[in-house]
Amino acid sequence: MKKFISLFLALTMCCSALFTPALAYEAPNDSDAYVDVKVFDSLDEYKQSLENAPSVQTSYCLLTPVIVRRGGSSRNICDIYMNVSGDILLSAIKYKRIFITNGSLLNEVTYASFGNSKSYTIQNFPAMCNGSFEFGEMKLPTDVEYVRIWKVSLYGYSMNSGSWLEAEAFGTKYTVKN
Amino acid sequence: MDIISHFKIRDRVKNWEELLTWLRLRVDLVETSLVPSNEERLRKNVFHSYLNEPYGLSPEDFVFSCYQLPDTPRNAEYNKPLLAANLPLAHITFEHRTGYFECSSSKLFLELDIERGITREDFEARALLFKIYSTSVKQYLAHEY
Repeated sequence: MKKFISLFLALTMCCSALFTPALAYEAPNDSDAYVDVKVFDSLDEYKQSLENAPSVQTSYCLLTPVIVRRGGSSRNICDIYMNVSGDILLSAIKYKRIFITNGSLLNEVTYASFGNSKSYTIQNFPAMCNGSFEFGEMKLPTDVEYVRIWKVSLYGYSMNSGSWLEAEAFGTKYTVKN
Repeated sequence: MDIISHFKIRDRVKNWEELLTWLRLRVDLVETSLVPSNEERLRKNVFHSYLNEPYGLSPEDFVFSCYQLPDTPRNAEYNKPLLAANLPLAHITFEHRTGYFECSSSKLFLELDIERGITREDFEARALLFKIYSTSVKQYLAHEY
Protein backbone atom coordinates (compact mmCIF):
# COMPACT_ATOMS: atom_id res chain seq x y z
CA MET A 1 0.00 0.00 0.00
CA LYS A 2 1.34 3.32 -0.95
CA LYS A 3 1.70 5.58 2.02
CA PHE A 4 1.68 9.26 1.82
CA ILE A 5 2.40 11.33 4.85
CA SER A 6 2.53 15.02 4.30
CA LEU A 7 3.95 17.69 6.50
CA PHE A 8 2.94 21.22 5.69
CA LEU A 9 5.62 23.62 6.69
CA ALA A 10 4.21 27.11 6.92
CA LEU A 11 6.93 29.66 7.41
CA THR A 12 6.47 32.91 9.28
CA MET A 13 9.39 35.00 10.40
CA CYS A 14 10.36 38.15 12.28
CA CYS A 15 13.86 39.56 12.24
CA SER A 16 16.27 42.45 12.22
CA ALA A 17 19.86 42.20 11.11
CA LEU A 18 22.83 43.14 9.06
CA PHE A 19 22.93 42.48 5.38
CA THR A 20 25.35 39.67 4.65
CA PRO A 21 27.08 40.74 1.45
CA ALA A 22 28.05 38.70 -1.56
CA LEU A 23 27.30 35.22 -0.33
CA ALA A 24 28.11 32.85 -3.16
CA TYR A 25 25.71 30.00 -2.65
CA GLU A 26 24.47 27.50 -5.17
CA ALA A 27 20.87 27.87 -6.18
CA PRO A 28 18.53 25.16 -4.91
CA ASN A 29 17.94 22.50 -7.53
CA ASP A 30 14.19 22.30 -6.99
CA SER A 31 11.90 25.04 -8.18
CA ASP A 32 9.45 24.87 -5.27
CA ALA A 33 12.06 25.62 -2.69
CA TYR A 34 10.93 28.72 -0.90
CA VAL A 35 8.16 30.24 1.13
CA ASP A 36 7.52 33.91 1.86
CA VAL A 37 7.41 34.88 5.49
CA LYS A 38 6.32 37.89 7.49
CA VAL A 39 8.70 39.29 10.10
CA PHE A 40 7.10 39.92 13.49
CA ASP A 41 8.17 42.55 15.97
CA SER A 42 6.91 40.61 18.95
CA LEU A 43 5.46 37.29 20.00
CA ASP A 44 2.14 39.02 20.66
CA GLU A 45 1.94 40.12 17.06
CA TYR A 46 2.69 36.58 15.97
CA LYS A 47 -0.01 35.16 18.25
CA GLN A 48 -2.58 37.49 16.71
CA SER A 49 -1.66 36.14 13.30
CA LEU A 50 -2.45 32.60 14.43
CA GLU A 51 -6.14 33.41 14.41
CA ASN A 52 -5.95 33.14 10.63
CA ALA A 53 -3.69 30.11 10.59
CA PRO A 54 -4.76 27.17 8.41
CA SER A 55 -6.33 24.18 10.12
CA VAL A 56 -4.31 21.00 10.47
CA GLN A 57 -5.52 17.95 8.57
CA THR A 58 -5.16 14.34 9.62
CA SER A 59 -1.77 12.86 8.75
CA TYR A 60 -0.37 16.28 8.23
CA CYS A 61 1.98 18.33 10.30
CA LEU A 62 2.54 22.04 10.05
CA LEU A 63 6.09 23.18 10.56
CA THR A 64 5.98 26.93 10.89
CA PRO A 65 9.19 28.91 11.10
CA VAL A 66 8.82 32.00 13.25
CA ILE A 67 11.34 34.82 13.46
CA VAL A 68 11.00 37.15 16.39
CA ARG A 69 13.15 40.19 17.07
CA ARG A 70 14.96 39.78 20.35
CA GLY A 71 13.99 42.85 22.33
CA GLY A 72 11.47 44.56 20.06
CA SER A 73 11.23 46.30 16.72
CA SER A 74 14.40 48.37 17.12
CA ARG A 75 16.64 45.33 17.49
CA ASN A 76 18.27 43.53 14.61
CA ILE A 77 18.96 40.26 16.45
CA CYS A 78 16.29 37.68 15.80
CA ASP A 79 15.51 34.27 17.21
CA ILE A 80 14.26 31.70 14.74
CA TYR A 81 11.90 29.01 15.98
CA MET A 82 10.02 26.25 14.25
CA ASN A 83 6.50 25.57 15.43
CA VAL A 84 5.30 22.01 15.00
CA SER A 85 1.63 21.04 14.92
CA GLY A 86 -0.29 18.09 13.61
CA ASP A 87 -0.56 14.39 14.32
CA ILE A 88 2.84 13.21 13.12
CA LEU A 89 5.38 12.63 15.90
CA LEU A 90 8.39 14.61 14.75
CA SER A 91 11.80 14.26 16.43
CA ALA A 92 14.30 15.89 14.08
CA ILE A 93 14.86 17.83 10.92
CA LYS A 94 17.79 17.72 8.57
CA TYR A 95 18.76 19.96 5.68
CA LYS A 96 21.65 20.76 3.41
CA ARG A 97 20.93 24.42 3.42
CA ILE A 98 18.28 26.85 4.64
CA PHE A 99 18.73 30.45 3.65
CA ILE A 100 16.80 33.62 4.10
CA THR A 101 16.59 36.35 1.48
CA ASN A 102 14.63 39.51 0.73
CA GLY A 103 12.73 37.64 -1.99
CA SER A 104 13.80 39.99 -4.76
CA LEU A 105 14.64 38.42 -8.12
CA LEU A 106 16.63 41.39 -9.39
CA ASN A 107 18.41 42.55 -6.26
CA GLU A 108 18.55 39.52 -4.05
CA VAL A 109 19.95 40.04 -0.58
CA THR A 110 20.80 37.03 1.56
CA TYR A 111 20.31 37.79 5.23
CA ALA A 112 21.33 34.44 6.66
CA SER A 113 22.29 30.96 5.61
CA PHE A 114 22.38 27.74 7.62
CA GLY A 115 23.99 24.46 6.68
CA ASN A 116 27.01 23.87 4.45
CA SER A 117 25.13 22.78 1.27
CA LYS A 118 27.08 19.50 1.04
CA SER A 119 26.35 17.38 4.07
CA TYR A 120 23.23 17.36 6.21
CA THR A 121 22.84 19.49 9.28
CA ILE A 122 20.62 17.61 11.74
CA GLN A 123 18.64 19.12 14.58
CA ASN A 124 17.17 16.73 17.13
CA PHE A 125 14.57 17.82 19.64
CA PRO A 126 12.18 16.12 22.07
CA ALA A 127 9.66 14.18 19.99
CA MET A 128 6.51 16.23 19.51
CA CYS A 129 3.26 16.48 17.61
CA ASN A 130 2.68 19.97 18.92
CA GLY A 131 5.37 22.31 20.16
CA SER A 132 8.36 24.18 18.86
CA PHE A 133 12.11 24.06 18.72
CA GLU A 134 14.89 26.57 18.36
CA PHE A 135 16.23 26.70 14.85
CA GLY A 136 18.88 29.40 15.16
CA GLU A 137 19.43 33.12 15.26
CA MET A 138 20.14 35.80 12.70
CA LYS A 139 20.56 39.50 12.14
CA LEU A 140 18.09 41.41 10.01
CA PRO A 141 17.77 45.13 9.29
CA THR A 142 15.06 46.71 11.41
CA ASP A 143 13.11 47.88 8.35
CA VAL A 144 12.61 44.37 6.97
CA GLU A 145 9.07 43.11 7.39
CA TYR A 146 9.02 40.08 5.11
CA VAL A 147 11.63 37.54 4.13
CA ARG A 148 11.75 34.55 1.83
CA ILE A 149 12.99 31.28 3.25
CA TRP A 150 14.61 28.82 0.88
CA LYS A 151 15.46 25.23 1.57
CA VAL A 152 17.79 22.73 -0.04
CA SER A 153 16.99 19.11 0.82
CA LEU A 154 14.88 19.61 3.91
CA TYR A 155 13.54 16.53 5.69
CA GLY A 156 11.61 15.83 8.87
CA TYR A 157 12.02 12.60 10.87
CA SER A 158 8.66 10.96 11.49
CA MET A 159 8.51 8.50 14.36
CA ASN A 160 5.21 7.26 12.93
CA SER A 161 6.93 5.84 9.87
CA GLY A 162 10.46 5.67 11.32
CA SER A 163 11.85 7.51 8.33
CA TRP A 164 12.91 10.85 6.95
CA LEU A 165 10.21 12.61 4.94
CA GLU A 166 11.20 15.15 2.35
CA ALA A 167 9.70 18.63 2.43
CA GLU A 168 8.52 20.45 -0.65
CA ALA A 169 7.40 24.03 -0.91
CA PHE A 170 3.73 24.54 -1.64
CA GLY A 171 2.57 28.13 -1.75
CA THR A 172 3.32 29.49 1.68
CA LYS A 173 3.85 26.01 3.09
CA TYR A 174 6.07 22.99 2.64
CA THR A 175 4.76 19.52 1.97
CA VAL A 176 6.61 16.41 3.05
CA LYS A 177 5.82 13.10 1.39
CA ASN A 178 6.73 9.60 2.42
CA MET B 1 22.17 -3.76 14.35
CA ASP B 2 21.91 -4.82 17.99
CA ILE B 3 20.69 -1.64 19.56
CA ILE B 4 19.28 -3.18 22.73
CA SER B 5 22.77 -3.86 24.09
CA HIS B 6 23.34 -0.09 24.03
CA PHE B 7 20.25 0.66 26.11
CA LYS B 8 20.80 1.98 29.62
CA ILE B 9 17.99 0.22 31.45
CA ARG B 10 17.53 1.69 34.92
CA ASP B 11 15.22 1.39 37.91
CA ARG B 12 14.51 5.07 37.40
CA VAL B 13 15.76 7.43 34.72
CA LYS B 14 18.40 10.02 35.61
CA ASN B 15 17.05 13.38 36.70
CA TRP B 16 18.35 16.72 35.41
CA GLU B 17 20.94 17.13 38.18
CA GLU B 18 22.38 13.70 37.51
CA LEU B 19 22.53 14.51 33.82
CA LEU B 20 24.24 17.81 34.60
CA THR B 21 26.84 16.00 36.71
CA TRP B 22 27.42 13.58 33.85
CA LEU B 23 27.64 16.50 31.44
CA ARG B 24 30.22 18.39 33.49
CA LEU B 25 32.57 15.42 33.22
CA ARG B 26 32.49 15.68 29.43
CA VAL B 27 32.21 19.34 28.51
CA ASP B 28 32.89 22.87 29.73
CA LEU B 29 29.69 24.62 30.76
CA VAL B 30 28.70 28.19 31.50
CA GLU B 31 25.34 28.87 33.10
CA THR B 32 23.26 31.41 31.19
CA SER B 33 19.90 33.06 31.61
CA LEU B 34 16.76 32.11 29.78
CA VAL B 35 15.89 34.36 26.83
CA PRO B 36 12.48 35.84 27.72
CA SER B 37 11.00 35.18 24.27
CA ASN B 38 12.10 31.57 24.64
CA GLU B 39 10.55 31.01 28.06
CA GLU B 40 6.92 30.93 27.02
CA ARG B 41 7.72 28.57 24.18
CA LEU B 42 9.60 26.25 26.55
CA ARG B 43 6.81 26.22 29.12
CA LYS B 44 4.33 25.26 26.43
CA ASN B 45 6.66 22.54 25.14
CA VAL B 46 7.20 20.95 28.54
CA PHE B 47 3.51 21.18 29.34
CA HIS B 48 2.65 19.19 26.19
CA SER B 49 5.63 16.85 26.49
CA TYR B 50 5.20 13.15 27.17
CA LEU B 51 7.58 13.71 30.09
CA ASN B 52 4.94 15.80 31.83
CA GLU B 53 2.28 13.11 31.52
CA PRO B 54 3.12 11.38 34.84
CA TYR B 55 3.17 14.73 36.67
CA GLY B 56 0.44 16.76 35.00
CA LEU B 57 2.15 20.01 35.95
CA SER B 58 1.02 23.41 34.75
CA PRO B 59 3.23 25.66 32.59
CA GLU B 60 3.94 27.97 35.54
CA ASP B 61 5.25 25.05 37.63
CA PHE B 62 8.32 24.52 35.52
CA VAL B 63 11.82 25.61 36.56
CA PHE B 64 14.60 25.94 34.01
CA SER B 65 18.38 26.00 34.04
CA CYS B 66 20.30 26.99 30.93
CA TYR B 67 23.89 26.31 29.99
CA GLN B 68 26.11 27.14 27.06
CA LEU B 69 29.12 25.23 25.82
CA PRO B 70 31.80 27.91 25.34
CA ASP B 71 34.16 27.68 22.40
CA THR B 72 36.87 25.56 24.05
CA PRO B 73 38.91 22.62 22.75
CA ARG B 74 36.97 20.31 25.04
CA ASN B 75 33.68 21.37 23.49
CA ALA B 76 34.92 21.36 19.89
CA GLU B 77 33.25 18.10 18.87
CA TYR B 78 29.86 19.62 19.70
CA ASN B 79 30.41 23.23 18.63
CA LYS B 80 32.33 22.64 15.41
CA PRO B 81 29.39 21.23 13.38
CA LEU B 82 27.14 24.04 14.61
CA LEU B 83 29.61 26.78 13.74
CA ALA B 84 30.18 25.21 10.32
CA ALA B 85 26.43 25.49 9.71
CA ASN B 86 26.36 29.15 10.93
CA LEU B 87 24.47 28.16 14.05
CA PRO B 88 25.17 29.49 17.57
CA LEU B 89 27.37 27.67 20.10
CA ALA B 90 25.75 24.63 21.66
CA HIS B 91 23.38 25.32 24.51
CA ILE B 92 21.19 23.20 26.75
CA THR B 93 18.08 23.94 28.75
CA PHE B 94 16.94 21.59 31.53
CA GLU B 95 13.54 21.60 33.20
CA HIS B 96 13.97 20.48 36.80
CA ARG B 97 10.75 18.71 37.63
CA THR B 98 10.08 16.66 34.51
CA GLY B 99 13.65 16.11 33.28
CA TYR B 100 12.72 17.64 29.93
CA PHE B 101 15.69 19.13 28.10
CA GLU B 102 16.51 20.73 24.79
CA CYS B 103 20.01 20.78 23.35
CA SER B 104 21.08 22.53 20.16
CA SER B 105 23.86 20.01 19.51
CA SER B 106 22.30 16.97 17.93
CA LYS B 107 25.10 14.68 19.07
CA LEU B 108 24.93 15.87 22.65
CA PHE B 109 21.14 15.69 22.61
CA LEU B 110 21.30 12.01 21.69
CA GLU B 111 24.04 11.31 24.24
CA LEU B 112 22.01 12.95 27.00
CA ASP B 113 18.86 11.12 25.96
CA ILE B 114 20.69 7.78 25.98
CA GLU B 115 22.39 8.55 29.30
CA ARG B 116 19.08 9.42 30.92
CA GLY B 117 18.11 5.83 30.25
CA ILE B 118 14.87 3.94 30.08
CA THR B 119 13.09 2.24 32.96
CA ARG B 120 12.70 -1.52 32.95
CA GLU B 121 8.95 -0.97 32.94
CA ASP B 122 9.04 1.19 29.80
CA PHE B 123 11.52 -1.16 28.19
CA GLU B 124 9.19 -4.10 28.67
CA ALA B 125 6.08 -2.16 27.68
CA ARG B 126 7.53 -1.49 24.21
CA ALA B 127 5.34 1.61 24.01
CA LEU B 128 6.00 5.24 23.08
CA LEU B 129 8.97 5.79 25.42
CA PHE B 130 10.61 2.65 24.08
CA LYS B 131 10.13 3.88 20.53
CA ILE B 132 11.60 7.29 21.32
CA TYR B 133 14.55 5.80 23.19
CA SER B 134 15.20 3.26 20.43
CA THR B 135 15.25 6.03 17.86
CA SER B 136 17.86 7.97 19.83
CA VAL B 137 20.08 4.92 20.20
CA LYS B 138 19.67 3.98 16.56
CA GLN B 139 20.45 7.49 15.35
CA TYR B 140 23.47 7.74 17.61
CA LEU B 141 24.94 4.41 16.52
CA ALA B 142 24.39 5.38 12.88
CA HIS B 143 26.21 8.70 13.53
CA GLU B 144 23.08 10.45 12.37
CA TYR B 145 23.64 13.73 14.17
